[in-house]
Amino acid sequence: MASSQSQRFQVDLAGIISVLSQHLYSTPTVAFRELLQNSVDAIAARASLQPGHKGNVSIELVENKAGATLMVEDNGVGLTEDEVHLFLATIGSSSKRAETHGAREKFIGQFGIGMLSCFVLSDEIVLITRSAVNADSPAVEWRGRGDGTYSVRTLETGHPPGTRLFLKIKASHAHLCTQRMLEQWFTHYGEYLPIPIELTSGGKSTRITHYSAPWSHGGLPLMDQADLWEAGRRYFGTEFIDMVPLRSVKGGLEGVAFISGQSRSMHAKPQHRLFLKGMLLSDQTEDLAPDWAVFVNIVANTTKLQPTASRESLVESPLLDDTRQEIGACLLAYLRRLADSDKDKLAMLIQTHHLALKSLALEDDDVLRFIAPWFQFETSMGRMNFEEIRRQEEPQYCTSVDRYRQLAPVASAENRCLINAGYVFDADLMAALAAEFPDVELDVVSAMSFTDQLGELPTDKAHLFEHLVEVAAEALRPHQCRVEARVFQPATLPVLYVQNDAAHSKRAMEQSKEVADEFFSSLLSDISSRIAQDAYHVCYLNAANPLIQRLTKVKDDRSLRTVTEVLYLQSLLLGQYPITSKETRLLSDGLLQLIEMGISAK
Amino acid sequence: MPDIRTLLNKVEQMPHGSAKVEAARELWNLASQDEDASLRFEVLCETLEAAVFGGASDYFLALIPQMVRLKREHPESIDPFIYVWRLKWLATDITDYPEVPLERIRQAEAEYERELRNAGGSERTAIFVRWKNAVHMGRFEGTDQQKDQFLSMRRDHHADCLACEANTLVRDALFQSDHAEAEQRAAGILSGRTRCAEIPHLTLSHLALSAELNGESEKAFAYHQKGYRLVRSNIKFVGETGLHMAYLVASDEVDRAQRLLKTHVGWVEQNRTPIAHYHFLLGATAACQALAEKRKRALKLPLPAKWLAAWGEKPLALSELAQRFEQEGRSLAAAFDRRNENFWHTNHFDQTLARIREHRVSRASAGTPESGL
Repeated sequence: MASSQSQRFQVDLAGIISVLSQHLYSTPTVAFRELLQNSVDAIAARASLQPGHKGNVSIELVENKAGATLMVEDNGVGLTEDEVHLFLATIGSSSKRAETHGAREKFIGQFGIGMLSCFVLSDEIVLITRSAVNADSPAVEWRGRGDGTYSVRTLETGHPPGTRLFLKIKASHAHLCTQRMLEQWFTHYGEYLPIPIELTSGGKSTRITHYSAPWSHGGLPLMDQADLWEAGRRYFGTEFIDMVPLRSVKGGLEGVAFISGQSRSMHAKPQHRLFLKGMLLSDQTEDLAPDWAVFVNIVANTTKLQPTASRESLVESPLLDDTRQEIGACLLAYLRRLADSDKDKLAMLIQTHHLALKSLALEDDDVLRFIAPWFQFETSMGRMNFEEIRRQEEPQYCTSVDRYRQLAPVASAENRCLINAGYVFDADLMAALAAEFPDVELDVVSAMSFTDQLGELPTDKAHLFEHLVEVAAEALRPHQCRVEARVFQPATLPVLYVQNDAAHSKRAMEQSKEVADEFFSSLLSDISSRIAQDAYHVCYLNAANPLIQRLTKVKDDRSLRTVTEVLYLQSLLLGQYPITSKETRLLSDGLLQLIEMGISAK
Repeated sequence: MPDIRTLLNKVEQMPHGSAKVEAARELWNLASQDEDASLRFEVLCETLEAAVFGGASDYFLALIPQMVRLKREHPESIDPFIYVWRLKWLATDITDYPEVPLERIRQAEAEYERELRNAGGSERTAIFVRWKNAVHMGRFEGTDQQKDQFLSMRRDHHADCLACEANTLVRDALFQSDHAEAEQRAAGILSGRTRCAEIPHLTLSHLALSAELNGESEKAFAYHQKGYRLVRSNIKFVGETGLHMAYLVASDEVDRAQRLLKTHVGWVEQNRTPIAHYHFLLGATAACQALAEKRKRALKLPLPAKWLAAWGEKPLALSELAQRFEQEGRSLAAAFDRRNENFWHTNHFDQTLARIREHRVSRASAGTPESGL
């Protein structure tokens, strides 16, 4: 039997560099971020060894006939020759992960692959570095090439401790390395880094970093309010109505949530601007806030959340979950503060972002209790908030707009509080409120449970309506509609038409049966009997209505049929139901017949 | 008036629930006559999804033949992946209707498998569907082998999401009265690692009652607290509200169970899925039996039309309500059993009610402190 022998994988280094540098990152400008990051981390490493060390970073663009060269210099910890071999020549090896130079948590990078992104901009990276740890160590020059080869030599000339990096910019990327573009991109990534960074080009120097930030920790003082407003406008291109300070202890996060003054879809994915230890991680972070917080855009800095290897998004983790919760708690605390100090603003916010806040209330009982009184609902007694609804006697709610439209006129006339809970989240909210506030007699209303409260005919008058009901039932049978005579308000309403949800399913089944093959036809037959039990429409003839009362005296069945059909169709129109072309013809014919009957009678 | 695509985008963005079903239905009424078959397919699929996730499974079943017709007449306009996915819902949801005979369920499974193969799906999901149906019908013979078989196979994009699959494994264990196994299967769901639109909602609702009856009151309370909040506001979960009611009765929180009964009984009219009614009736019966034993007064409930018509409008005494709910539940259980050719649902209904009562009485007599609800 052959003995097993360990073998090494063959690695195509140039290929790996190509993949990492060209496909890991979404944009070549990420190289600018990686350059800043290495410099800032080197300075942090030196500061941890030499407390009080003042770091700075200089960026210079030199342009001549041969093209553009970008130079980035820092006075950080630098590297010895051994460290150069270890960290610059081994993909995935990082001085920051190895904890070679002090506390790892102070560093931004840690994967040991960031430098590779520079190969997108340049075929060769030249790096001159001298270690600040060992004063006797000479400066070292490292030349790394995109084909995966590198060379190292020690330099005799004197260099201060730190690192200087040169990139000869490829012609294909020269457009990214103009003075204007460099200022834009280095500002984009590094404007809040707590180290002075200066860009020089054509003899002109520009400071990249600000003197304050939207958060207070990390070295820069907190921005004043006017600058924060301006930052919000600049970052998100819109006006906001308020700002909320955010803090998550677990996520090491601090920043600001800008509150949008415009309604947003519940499926909107607001983008947030997230910084990691002062460096922009992404201006398109989506999952930083709880799902319900669609009405905020956040600018924040984190020291603890974990970036992915491409450093353009966050790793999903329990820590990120906790951070979201803490951000949610900050937003909630803000809403509670408004309830105490600025009720008008809270009312406006709830009106604008009612979907998001209803969704939040459905998730959290505390929020439900606190915010429920502010939600407004359409009712048969006018618009009411929940506090007002609570004061009504046995309020009921409809879970469908159609049903509300059917029943609201009757409820209104009879002074009953019927709530339209047919809009998004409203039915859910009513159910949650009914569970949360058992003292309120808040019930869902079905078409039948509502109409069963309509008055019965007085026993001595019931016989007067028998014939009318009989003829009307026959006339409306083709429309799958039962007929009953009841007494209800308003007396001006001759007919109340009530449709049932199951009727929709029944109708859909009947339509489908016409197109179904044998299997589906059998399947529909199996279940249609169950649906038929529940599927009905009902026309309630109002015995309190003078027209209906007069109809009881009409002896001509043909006329009764016509009038019943027209009343039925009129009730459909009043209930805002769509009517079919067949029903339109029926209405037209019916009206003509009525006109004829009217003229003949004269 | 906005065009159909604009309206479709709006409907797509609505959260699942009654309002979305209503909007999708209106949209389908509008779009069903449109000349663009692809658009018709998109609207129809959105409507089917709204119905399935909004508690209108009968409307979903009613519309499915329209989708099959569209495929027959305009195969080029159909996205086969979405088509097969909707057929999977059909093949599993029809077991929820006791009127659908076993033979038809087998036909639906076969039809699904045929389309699954045509769409390049693996055998795994086909076996999973057969196993899931067998479990839901209490037909456990051979299901362990089926389970081992699909669990050993590689998942593909036709497989249920991890959360749904884990939930079905939990249900399988609970249906076979193995609470410990159910807890183990639910580990990922309970830790929050695996979740989806309906999970952990379903899992927590089933586990709460089981944990309580198995003496794990603290866990049961936590499952109920978290689970009820997730199901209390979508009529799709009317069955699960019944299970929470059953949990509350078992833990001797009878007044709280009464509140749930009053809040959710009206949903029975809107969600007409028989299996959901079965679970609701289990909880409603347990609640009314306990309330009657505690000599509570008559209860006025916003009953669905068919019960109102059959039982009358006057508030019924609790003992009578309990009897009515029990009759309805038993009759439904018997219908399922006739179709499934076993006694699983009847036994489950009777045994669960007996266990709930026994547990409640022993908890009450032991003077177990209130859970703090």
